Amino acid sequence: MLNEKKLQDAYIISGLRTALGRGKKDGAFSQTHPVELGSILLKELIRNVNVNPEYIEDVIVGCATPCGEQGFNIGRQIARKAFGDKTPGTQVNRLCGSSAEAFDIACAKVMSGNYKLILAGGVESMSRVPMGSDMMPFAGDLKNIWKILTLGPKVVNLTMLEGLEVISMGISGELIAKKWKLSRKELDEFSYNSHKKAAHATSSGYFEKEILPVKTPNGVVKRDEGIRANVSIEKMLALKPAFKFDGVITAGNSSQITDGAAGILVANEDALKEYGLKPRAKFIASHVIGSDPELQLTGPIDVVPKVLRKAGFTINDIDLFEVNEAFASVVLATQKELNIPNEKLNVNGGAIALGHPLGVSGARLLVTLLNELERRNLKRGLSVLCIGGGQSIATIIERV
Amino acid sequence: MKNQNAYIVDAIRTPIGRGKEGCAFSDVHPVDLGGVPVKELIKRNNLKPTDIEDLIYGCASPIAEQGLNIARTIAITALDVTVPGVQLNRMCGSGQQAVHFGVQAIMSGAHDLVIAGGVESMSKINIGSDGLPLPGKEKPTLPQSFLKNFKSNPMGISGELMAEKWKLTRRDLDEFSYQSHMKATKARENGYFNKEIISVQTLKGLVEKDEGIRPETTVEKIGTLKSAFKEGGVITAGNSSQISDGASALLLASESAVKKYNLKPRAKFIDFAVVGTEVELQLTGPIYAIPKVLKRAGLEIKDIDLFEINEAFASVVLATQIELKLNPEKINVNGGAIALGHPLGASGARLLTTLLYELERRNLKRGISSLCIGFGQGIAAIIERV
Repeated sequence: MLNEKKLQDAYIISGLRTALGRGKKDGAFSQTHPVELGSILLKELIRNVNVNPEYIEDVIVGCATPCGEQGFNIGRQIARKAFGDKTPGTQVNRLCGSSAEAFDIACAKVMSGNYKLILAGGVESMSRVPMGSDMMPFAGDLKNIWKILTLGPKVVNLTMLEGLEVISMGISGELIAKKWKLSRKELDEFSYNSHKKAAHATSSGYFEKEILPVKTPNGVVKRDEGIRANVSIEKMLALKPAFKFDGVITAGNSSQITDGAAGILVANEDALKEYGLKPRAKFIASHVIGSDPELQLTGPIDVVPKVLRKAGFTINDIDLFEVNEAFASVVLATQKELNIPNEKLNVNGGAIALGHPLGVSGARLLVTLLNELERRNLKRGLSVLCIGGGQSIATIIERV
Repeated sequence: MKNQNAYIVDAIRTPIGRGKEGCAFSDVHPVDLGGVPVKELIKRNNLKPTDIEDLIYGCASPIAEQGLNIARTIAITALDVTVPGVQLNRMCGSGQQAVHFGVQAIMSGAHDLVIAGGVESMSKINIGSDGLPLPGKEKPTLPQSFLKNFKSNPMGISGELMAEKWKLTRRDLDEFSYQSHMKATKARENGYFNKEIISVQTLKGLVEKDEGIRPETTVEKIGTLKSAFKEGGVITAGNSSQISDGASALLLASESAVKKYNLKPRAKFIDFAVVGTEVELQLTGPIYAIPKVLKRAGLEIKDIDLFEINEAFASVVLATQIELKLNPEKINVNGGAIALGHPLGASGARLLTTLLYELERRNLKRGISSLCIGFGQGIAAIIERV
């Protein structure tokens, strides 16, 4: 019986991601079905570590827009396509934190001893299923988009909107820039550096270990498509504000709209022994919070101290941080509040350069974090994401 | 360190409304409907909304009014902006899966106090609408290679195939369905559901009772219905689950939360299982999930006092009963989804809730809740009163 079982550690056996494609009509993965993309990745992930697909007890897939081609419980659709009918699967949505959540769930499952070996990950094709499509009225009702949010109370008994200001992410990005007194120049410089760091990591081959090349109708995709190696601060400063006319947030200092998939194989001690698996890292702690829905994206500032306290660490005990670059203002505000050293933060760039496939980014950050901890021979890393509507999720891992 | 026990401290559900225009909850937003049991759990257990560490909610059609991570919108409106929320979809197993995730989080020490459940407003969001093409993308534009060797039947056809395979006649199915209505009628009349149901104030008035139960039905009446999925078939609207609106939620706590908040645990989780199954028959999940969970727990069929097996179709429950040699007197003793309805993402939590109250009413110990799931999955859990 479960409650007589020993609490076990959860380990990362392997982590892998696709390259990130631009989430546009002609983007690298725009002709690839999200179920296909996710299943190619997960299949190869376990093949790389010689795991029999029959050992996979559940597949938990984060997806922030679970409709259209990502509908019908895409977790199960991917599990079936990759491993056959006998592998169950479920979809989870904590918006931008979806696959971080999938990973945390997988860890809790194996720690409780109820499962031994779980695949967690995320998939998002923003070129095919645009952000917010899950809030749209149904097909054919295009002219009534957002009616649900704006006219809701007239049609239904909708108390929901009374306490729930719906603000665009960009406006929250602006509010954060204002509150932390971040200038346009600071945001653009940060973003320029994101591109430079990512370009350097790519040309130096740092990402090669974590990226699975994927064959598509557009050719084999093995490099992140969003990185602009030749970007300059001047070019960035020339961009127009995207959300308000006198604002500081532009397309250049925001995360990119992106397609991709990422996966992590999670095992407990029983599975290590039984299947002879070699762990690369251990799950230390995770934490999730709700935060102010108006500033919306300030969650990392509150969740990082909480997850550190849970694990008994301080900022100094963490060797590398991955803070999702939803907007440059989010990362800079977090950095200021928590005193995270520059040289430990998003060392290979972030979503501003690489892109932000919503449901994928949590797992993508963890995969990149693990890979970079290994490359630098460091021990402990923390990844954290802000989440639309005001949430945040943070995870600490440690190499073993 | 040993695993923490995960306790069910409380469980509650809304009445189940018919999932049609003009019915009990058709003018209630799913975010509001989903918040009803959540608020009540807080209130009657003397908790603060901020005591809840996460709200985990199942929803099988997570779009439109149910979109944008409905768990978080419910957390904000029913609890507090500082309470996070996550939506998940394991289709008809979503509500129970939410509870599993909550229990695992507690057992692993990640959380101490969570609410898990599910909501579905089928009157607003039709089953399958999450898989429809997006507005403006009505025509498939891809060579959909993933559709090759990716066959799946409509649920009803799988219901037919199961009836055929287990040699179930139309009469068998109708008789079973009649009994579901009769058991539910009796339970309602005797007030067995009173404790588990929270009434809901809507624009049309107070909804206090399940709307789908037909006390006046007869086997003969059910027998006159036309087959719904194929000519000459045996599956009809009468021996299938009803399309419904509803919500259900459970308050789950660790031992330390029980002490800290002075809560009284009512049951604990013994074990659970999920399985993938063949997709053509599609709905045979309980046949595999129940033995799996029993084996994991070191228990046998005879150790289980009551079973809740979701009545997606009468053929599903009867096939499971035949295959696992279950005693019909222990199955769905107060009726099931054929009489009460099947709000997809809520049903798993609804089954666990009904199971808990009935174990208590009969002073029994241990129960199993299991659901079949579209595209071939199954889920099962064992709970035990404490």
